[in-house]
Amino acid sequence: MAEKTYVEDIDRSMYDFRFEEKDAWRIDAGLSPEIVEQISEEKNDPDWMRDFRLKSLEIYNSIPMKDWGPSIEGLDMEHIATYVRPNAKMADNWDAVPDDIKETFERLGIPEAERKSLAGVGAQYDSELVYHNVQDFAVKQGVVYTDIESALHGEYGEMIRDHFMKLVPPSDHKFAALHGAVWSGGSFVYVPDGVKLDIPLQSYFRLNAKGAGQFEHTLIILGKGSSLHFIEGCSAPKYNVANLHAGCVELFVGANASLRYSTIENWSKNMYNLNTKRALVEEGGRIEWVSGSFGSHVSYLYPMSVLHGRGARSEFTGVTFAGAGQNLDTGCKVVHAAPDTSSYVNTRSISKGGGISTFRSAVVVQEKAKNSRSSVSCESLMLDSESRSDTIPAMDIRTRQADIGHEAKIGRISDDAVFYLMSRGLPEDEARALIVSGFADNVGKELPLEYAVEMNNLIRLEMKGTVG
Amino acid sequence: MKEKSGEKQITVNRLPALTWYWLGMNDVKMKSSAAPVSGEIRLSLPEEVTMEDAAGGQRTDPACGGENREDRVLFFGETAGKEDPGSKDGLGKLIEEAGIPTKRFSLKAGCRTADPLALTFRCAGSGLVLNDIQLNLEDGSSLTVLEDFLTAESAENMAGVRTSFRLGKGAVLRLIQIQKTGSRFSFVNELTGSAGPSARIELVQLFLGGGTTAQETRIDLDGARASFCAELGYQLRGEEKLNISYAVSHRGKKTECGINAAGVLRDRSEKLFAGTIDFKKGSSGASGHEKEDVLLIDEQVRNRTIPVILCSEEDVAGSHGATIGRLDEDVLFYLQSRGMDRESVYEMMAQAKLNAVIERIPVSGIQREARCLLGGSGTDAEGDREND
Repeated sequence: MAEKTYVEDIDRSMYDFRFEEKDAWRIDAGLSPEIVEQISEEKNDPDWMRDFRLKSLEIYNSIPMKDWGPSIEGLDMEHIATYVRPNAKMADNWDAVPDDIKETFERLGIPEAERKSLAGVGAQYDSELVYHNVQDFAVKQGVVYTDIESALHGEYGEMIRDHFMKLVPPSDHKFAALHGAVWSGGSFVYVPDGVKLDIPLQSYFRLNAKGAGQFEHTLIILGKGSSLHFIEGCSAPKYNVANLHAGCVELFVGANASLRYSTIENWSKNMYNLNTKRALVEEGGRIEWVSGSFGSHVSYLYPMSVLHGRGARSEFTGVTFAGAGQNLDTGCKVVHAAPDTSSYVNTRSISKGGGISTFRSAVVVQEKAKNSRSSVSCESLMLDSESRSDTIPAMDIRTRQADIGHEAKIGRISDDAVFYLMSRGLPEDEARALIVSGFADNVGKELPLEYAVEMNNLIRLEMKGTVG
Repeated sequence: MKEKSGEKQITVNRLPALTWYWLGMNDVKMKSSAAPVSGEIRLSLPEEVTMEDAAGGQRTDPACGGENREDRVLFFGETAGKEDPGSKDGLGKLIEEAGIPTKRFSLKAGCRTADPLALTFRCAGSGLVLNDIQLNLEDGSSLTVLEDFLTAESAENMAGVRTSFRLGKGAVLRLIQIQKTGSRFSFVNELTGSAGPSARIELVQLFLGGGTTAQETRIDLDGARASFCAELGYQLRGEEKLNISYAVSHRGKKTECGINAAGVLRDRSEKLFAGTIDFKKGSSGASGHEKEDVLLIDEQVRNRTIPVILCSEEDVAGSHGATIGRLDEDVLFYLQSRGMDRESVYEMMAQAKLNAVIERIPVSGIQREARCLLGGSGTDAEGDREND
């Protein structure tokens, strides 16, 4: 009989530290028109945005809670503070950031990464950005990278109004409506026509407050022929009450533009991560999603690509690692809405220690999307029989002029592979960790080196304690 | 089951794991305003098979242990702790409420028949025509069953047939279902069953036409080494709609299942295939594989596929694959280089897909009938046979 593997829970000390909410201001828990108006007041919203928030709240109240996917019964909006303002003004140098917040981001390695390999950084602490900076060479090329609230009141105000929640309307689902009502923080990026930024921008979202929600909005607009790599990171310390993340990402990829959007999500295991991400890709444009999901108690995360222009392309590369107490429902959606479009989906899911991992996808090829191609491949690895792994891929094809392929596999670590590595001198736990790292390599090789190293460290930490 | 001013609505083909509602794949609603009536069956009964009529809605077989549920193999949905998702508001509920009698066919332990049990259902009529069939194969027995669902093209009512089975240890059931019904005819074909240790189900389903059809198959592989293999072939034309659902639950150790679906869509037809392989806890050593290959012939067809794997057991192997759309360019090039035009190549490959499924029918006489129906000469002939 094959020996069973015991896998310890992750050592999260790198992320699981916290500071007291010192001098922060938090809004009352719950959700009401008064609370929404209060947030709007705090944010100094233009009138249209205040009205938009209130309308979104109405929509939120009118949409029933969904009856599929992981349970979110433990999430009680009456106990979630939707806005927590740290006692810090947004700065463009780290010395001006309060010590405890600065230390938080230093421990997460953000300033160091900025010095080494980033063209710009935005750092959000609870509901507000506390740091935003973009390198001069990027500014000189006309790249705009700023907090979304400032942009709302500046020269890009109209552009934001034209795009804000147009791709993810509040009526899309209940938590999109919630986001529309209480959003705060996030980034606005505009890359002009023809500008190719070789070095990535990064936004990092840290939720420090207990029993709170984070609702940042990321809006990226790429002009024709431009290119960008945007990296998003997130983490939080663990509390014994529910926290909520319901952010929204809207990406407009212009004709022949190229956007890579990478995420290493490592929320704490009391987090309900109900995030929405969507990209609209014009003619000849390309969106690449690279997604690593390691944290959260419950996740619903399905980045969506709408291939709107002829020849638009999307790629989704993802890995999900569900451990004890986690129910991670991840995947992607692709809508082929123009001829000659193509999509490629490649995911890996790993479940251990009672964790539940679900891959869920939808590929829709509309009638007008002649000569479209799609390929979906998902593989799942079960590390023990306490865990669960499901795959639920859907395809809706409405033209004969399409080539659609799908394959999925589910199974366990091969005993032969473990035996081979052990015969070469590796202890069993290291052999298993190495196999799992290799299994997740589809994502690792798509990330910049520093982030690939972080991801491999996460996997090694997840696998630490594995014994035969 | 919802009822509104005489109209009955049932929900069938419910996906075991729901997904986005906007995809419209979670279930299928079927409606009829006609009064339920019990359907007639023309049958050919091998002498080894016994037949009895049970009162409407009676699901318990006294010959197999009566009410003592511990002592008998149970029909799907009767097992303690197992929920039959079809019974709440599905065809079963409709049959039970209408008091439709059950025809029960049994085969004694160790008995193997050479002749098939052939059931031709008289589905056409003015009402909502319902039938309830039970197949009980005791340990070590073996039976081939043919179920024909045929109507004339003019039929436009709705019918439902529920076939449930239980297989004892080592029993083998070869079930062939052939449907060719009218283009305005609605049909619900529900197949449920459970298999004991080392029992085997070989299913061939051939769909050759029908207005709106829901085909729901739910199989429980309860016993160790029980197996299920299904070959499904379909051909849709006009505005036909076919909704297919397979849900195979692996409960016993080393159970196996294989589902192969192949089909052709023409004109403005629509098809939904939902195949679920569910590895329950305790099914160690099990394997399940499903594959679908769909050829889309015309421009306005719609094909939906959702192959699901649910897994609560580590030591299993599951896979699914699907290819949808056009013919492989290499195949097309090869055949065109041999002088065939593009349309002829597509026609030939479409026929080949269905013929490959017909080849899996284990009885040559039934193969001939299927070929005849596929060729188009059978529909009205069988319909006439049914109506005479």
